[in-house]
Amino acid sequence: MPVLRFIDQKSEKYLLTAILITISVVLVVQVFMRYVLNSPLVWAEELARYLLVWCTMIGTSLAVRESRHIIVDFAPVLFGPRSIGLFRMISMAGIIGFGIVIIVYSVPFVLRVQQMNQLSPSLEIPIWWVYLALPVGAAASILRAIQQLYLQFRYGLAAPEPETVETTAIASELQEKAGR
Amino acid sequence: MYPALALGSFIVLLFLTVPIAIAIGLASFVPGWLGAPVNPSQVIRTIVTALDSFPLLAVPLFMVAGDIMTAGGLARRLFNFADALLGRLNGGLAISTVAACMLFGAISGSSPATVAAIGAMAIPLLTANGYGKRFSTVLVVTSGTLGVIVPPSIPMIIYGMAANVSVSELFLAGIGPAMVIGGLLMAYAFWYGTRHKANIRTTAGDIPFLQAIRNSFWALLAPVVVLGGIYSGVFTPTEAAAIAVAYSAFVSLFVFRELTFPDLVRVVGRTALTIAPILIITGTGAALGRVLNLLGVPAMLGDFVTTIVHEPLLLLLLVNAILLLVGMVMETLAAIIVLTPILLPVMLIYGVDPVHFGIIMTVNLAIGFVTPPVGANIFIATQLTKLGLVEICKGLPIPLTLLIVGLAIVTYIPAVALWLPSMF
Repeated sequence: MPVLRFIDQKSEKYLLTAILITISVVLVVQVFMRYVLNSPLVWAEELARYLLVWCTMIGTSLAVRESRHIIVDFAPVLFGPRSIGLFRMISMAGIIGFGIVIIVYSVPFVLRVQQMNQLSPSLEIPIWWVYLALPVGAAASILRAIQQLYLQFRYGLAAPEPETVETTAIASELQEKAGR
Repeated sequence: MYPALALGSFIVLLFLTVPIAIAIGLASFVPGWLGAPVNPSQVIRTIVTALDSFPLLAVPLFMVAGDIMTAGGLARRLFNFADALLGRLNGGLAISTVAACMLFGAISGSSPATVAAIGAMAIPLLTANGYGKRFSTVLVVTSGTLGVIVPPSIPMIIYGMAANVSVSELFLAGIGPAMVIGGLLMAYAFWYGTRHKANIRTTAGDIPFLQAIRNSFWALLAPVVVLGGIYSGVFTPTEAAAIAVAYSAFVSLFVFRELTFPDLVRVVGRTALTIAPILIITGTGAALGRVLNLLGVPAMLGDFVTTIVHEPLLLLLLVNAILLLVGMVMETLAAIIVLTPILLPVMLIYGVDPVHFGIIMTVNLAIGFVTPPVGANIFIATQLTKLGLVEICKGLPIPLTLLIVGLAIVTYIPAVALWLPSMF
């Protein structure tokens, strides 16, 4: 199932990359329009802000998948290596719990905003599209946490940390370039 | 009672290795669940309004810009420039390392990113020229703090949001403290260089001075564009961040030609991974700060503090001690966004300038990047050098003391921070 694999491995990362690039381009164009052409883009700032809300929530899910969330790993050190698996499960349970809480309180909130039929000031898109990021991001995070738990039950903690691999790759890349 | 429950549940969740952002988020719901007059939908609303923010946009953008500058060869040229300028002094290469951190800090707003960018180049070069490995690593780890003290600075952006203070003014106020702390670290490098003169080979002259300037011209122009644009009021800090992204992309693609377009997209993808866990912290952090505010914590704290402390200087000492402690165990941005709305009202009672307090907080928490157990700079350095945490910590006492001396100067001589903004 290559499509599913693509969604699993790349969806959040590509979305986030696309959003970041869009935000940069829109804001640069805005500065250009304002100073050079003297006709500011009124909607640019709003679009960038709304994309940031989505960026945050998609990022939350991505961080679960890539084990990027910042944790204080004092307890696993205290209780020894055998407790690592247990604490990882608790950690994922926390994420799932948070996701549920966010969904429970944000869905009624989104629905209320939707009923008010409010449009954003300059883009004139429905405001609830912005708030929708919360339940969607929370649901995605829950799925990612369940996936992590499944992988842990299935394969244990053997999988290498993606982070270390990548950071060392950047470091060696830089060191090569630095050799002058 | 309710605030204690919120903070207690936060600490318990944190201990159970629940991610910081999530622990903060859950803790902000706790008082409401237990009957405090804090509606859960208020928490949701605060998260969204905190994220739907124009100043906050600068945070991911400055992170992207920093990574492009590193991958595209701008960071390396800044380092070569610093070496061509300062390399002839005793300990020249080490002094240049500190200067390179300052130059890189003038385009990047992140401390760990500065350690990664400058450290990956400087540490191998320092050790190859006779500097001790531990010294080199510790020097970069501590100089990395300059990444957030030299404007632009991500913690200052977050403080500006939380305290409703102009980010541009904070950026101006950061320059003096950056000079003080950069100067102290350079003095440390000079002292080491003088002491170990016999073992150290100088690299100055490897690249002729004029050629170094010519090579690094486009890289040196980056901070001029970014900071110049902000200070002259041509663009806001957020727009400056977008310009920094565009500028670094342009220079890497077309001037230095060290990146192709697909490379560039890959770099942004890599940055996305570092950004992912950061933004949600500002969302939930704002929620917890708001909840504690609704529960009247600032007033309680104010009453308590005014009964025990009468001198502003003593209060600053107390706050410094608390923030250093918090910085050791807490993620920086979370600390700023939760603590600012609580501490700032108390500081205002004692007549502390909000801009000055923002700088004090930034320097304090920057030191937190360097202190174990959760020092992000140390963590990056262990990955760069394969030196263990303990080995790095053995080298920390002297430079860490210098950082604290710098903090004391910034705290007790407000003019260091406030002189420059007052000129505008």
